[in-house]
Amino acid sequence: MADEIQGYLDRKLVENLDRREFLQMGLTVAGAAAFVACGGSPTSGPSGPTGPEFKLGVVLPYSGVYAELGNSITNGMRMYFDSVGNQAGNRKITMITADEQVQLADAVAATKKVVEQDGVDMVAGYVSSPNAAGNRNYLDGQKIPTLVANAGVNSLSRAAKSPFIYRTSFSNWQPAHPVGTYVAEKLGKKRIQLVYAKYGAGLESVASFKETFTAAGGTIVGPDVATPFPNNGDQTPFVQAIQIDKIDGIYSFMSGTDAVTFLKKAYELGTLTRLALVSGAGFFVEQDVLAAITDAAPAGAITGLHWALTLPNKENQDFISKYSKKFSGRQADVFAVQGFDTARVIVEALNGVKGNTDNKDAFMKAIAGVSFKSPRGDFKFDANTNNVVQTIYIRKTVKDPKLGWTNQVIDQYPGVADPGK
Amino acid sequence: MFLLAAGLSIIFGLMNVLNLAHGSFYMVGAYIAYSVVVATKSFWLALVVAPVLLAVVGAALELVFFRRVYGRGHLAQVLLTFGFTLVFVDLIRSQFGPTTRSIPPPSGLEGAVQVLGATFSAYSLFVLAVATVVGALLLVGWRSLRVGAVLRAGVEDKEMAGLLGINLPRVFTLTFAFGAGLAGLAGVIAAPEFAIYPGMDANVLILALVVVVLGGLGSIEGALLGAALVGLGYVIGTSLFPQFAIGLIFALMAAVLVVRPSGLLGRRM
Repeated sequence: MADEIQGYLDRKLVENLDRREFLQMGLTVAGAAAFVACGGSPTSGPSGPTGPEFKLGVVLPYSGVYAELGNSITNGMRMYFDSVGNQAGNRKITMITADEQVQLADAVAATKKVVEQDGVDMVAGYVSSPNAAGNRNYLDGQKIPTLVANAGVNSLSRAAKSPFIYRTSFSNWQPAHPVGTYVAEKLGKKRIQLVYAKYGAGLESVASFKETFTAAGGTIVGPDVATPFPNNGDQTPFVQAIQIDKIDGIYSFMSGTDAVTFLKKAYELGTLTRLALVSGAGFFVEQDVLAAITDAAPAGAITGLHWALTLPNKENQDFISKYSKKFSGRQADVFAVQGFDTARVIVEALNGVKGNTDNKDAFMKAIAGVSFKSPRGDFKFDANTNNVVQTIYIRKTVKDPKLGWTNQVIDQYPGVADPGK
Repeated sequence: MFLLAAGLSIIFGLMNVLNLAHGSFYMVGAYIAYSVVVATKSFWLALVVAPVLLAVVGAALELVFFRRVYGRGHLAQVLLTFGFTLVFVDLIRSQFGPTTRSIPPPSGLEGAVQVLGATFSAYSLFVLAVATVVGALLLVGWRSLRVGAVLRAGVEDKEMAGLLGINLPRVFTLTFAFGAGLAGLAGVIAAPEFAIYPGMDANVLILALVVVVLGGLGSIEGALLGAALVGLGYVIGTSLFPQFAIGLIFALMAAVLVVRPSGLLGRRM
């Protein structure tokens, strides 16, 4: 009921954004047209690609609550495409962006726009899970090669997987799964209460944690603390529902604004410092959240994610410094990495088929076969799930003298693959 | 919440202008607080600067724009003020980006306090105190000061008040500025308690409208009572049935509207 009302209100606002959005899309298209008219990419030079243009539809949110994620993913993609001169397989790559916004209806409209109006060769994007899942049948039916660059809904790697849809980001199951083992076995913390935003991603994340945690002898202490999503009200009653005296710690899934308000309130009430362990999926204390709450950060929190700012591998350090240079000092984040890798998959697959995307099966096969060293570590696809197989890092929240609040990698679980078949 | 609703109620009740940009004033107040705190590290300075700035903005908007739509019915006002909400949210986004921001509570108000065996965050208590003080001042001003009398006269009967020599256009401008200032104050107060992000305006505007409708238009007491009810309803709602909290508030509003169409303490229409 509350969701419906919230949904209705969001729609109301979004409806009224239509005109602005329309103008913005118009500008993007006009910009692209002007760009082409000027003779294409300056980096391609006289020996530029001679094949037909490769049009990539990028469906990401550029307005609404997830706009920041959309921008980061786009930046990451742009950075990789620029690094290869915006071409691959003798074809010039053009990104055509459309605003995913928040609601499914808008995401569907954006997808149809790039597919039917712009006639793109491929689609990449989707931040929110309902939007990825809701466009799945259309993309599958139209046989549009698609890369999901964020949305983590498990079903895309399981019941709803499609031979045309691969995922470069994660399934909600992945970051949570090793945390359960780590907390129960390596840390020996056996009594955990679950704290999460009650929506798809939160539920799938805690379910995954529970699997490994209880299998390793841990006990979930109830009742769960499930906050509405998004929670625009006071977080106090939820923070106070944490049963400090009965548990060793919490496992939490929250992100963005919800994580900010929750952690701040918990800090003021001194709740988390009285727990032996704060654990969670990495989004709970990712850089965006830490930057907002600074010293209210839960020092020592143990979280799982497929990336960390502090990863020492060369690819990551390179990525971080170039990203910050290219985008006027912006700090790289996990979403930018996902965009960067998505673009790389596209480029390598295009090279693999020498620019021939007419044979879609061959192109999808080329995508499935892409593997490389990403800023996040080894990147490859799982033939069973069409989902990325990747290392999940166990990180500890610390205050670094140079980076400020961040997450230090203390352990890793390589090759974590979603259990879908 | 009460601060916001009081401002909205005064503007709506007195001037019969439905101001949807009120939430934007609140959001801008929070962002001003953020900017001031980042620049000077002083929350207290923000507490003074933001309401004053917003009062000026409010007055300017009233003089240039809103003044022209008084006679045109609510639809024109809704369109105009809703347009401003879009302008404000885009201005904020282009200036600060879509990232969530936050500021710490001022020093001395961090941490938790034990009151009667329950734990409260010190800042929450401060918010409560500010709301009580402002509420009391408003109530006193409304009931016993000349300004209050003029405002109440305006609410009751515009034409009569005008005939009695009250400079209504000026009163309107000042009232609008005052309402905007209150929203700005609410924004500053809310900044350390909640997160600061583009879109915070819409969330709070809806609740403020409910508060005003519940309590009754053009009545400070009504705004006070409405805010208390909505606050309690929301907190109890979120703890007992988290998924239904907002629904509960709207159910409450519907029930009140059935029994008393003009709100709990509103004037009979």
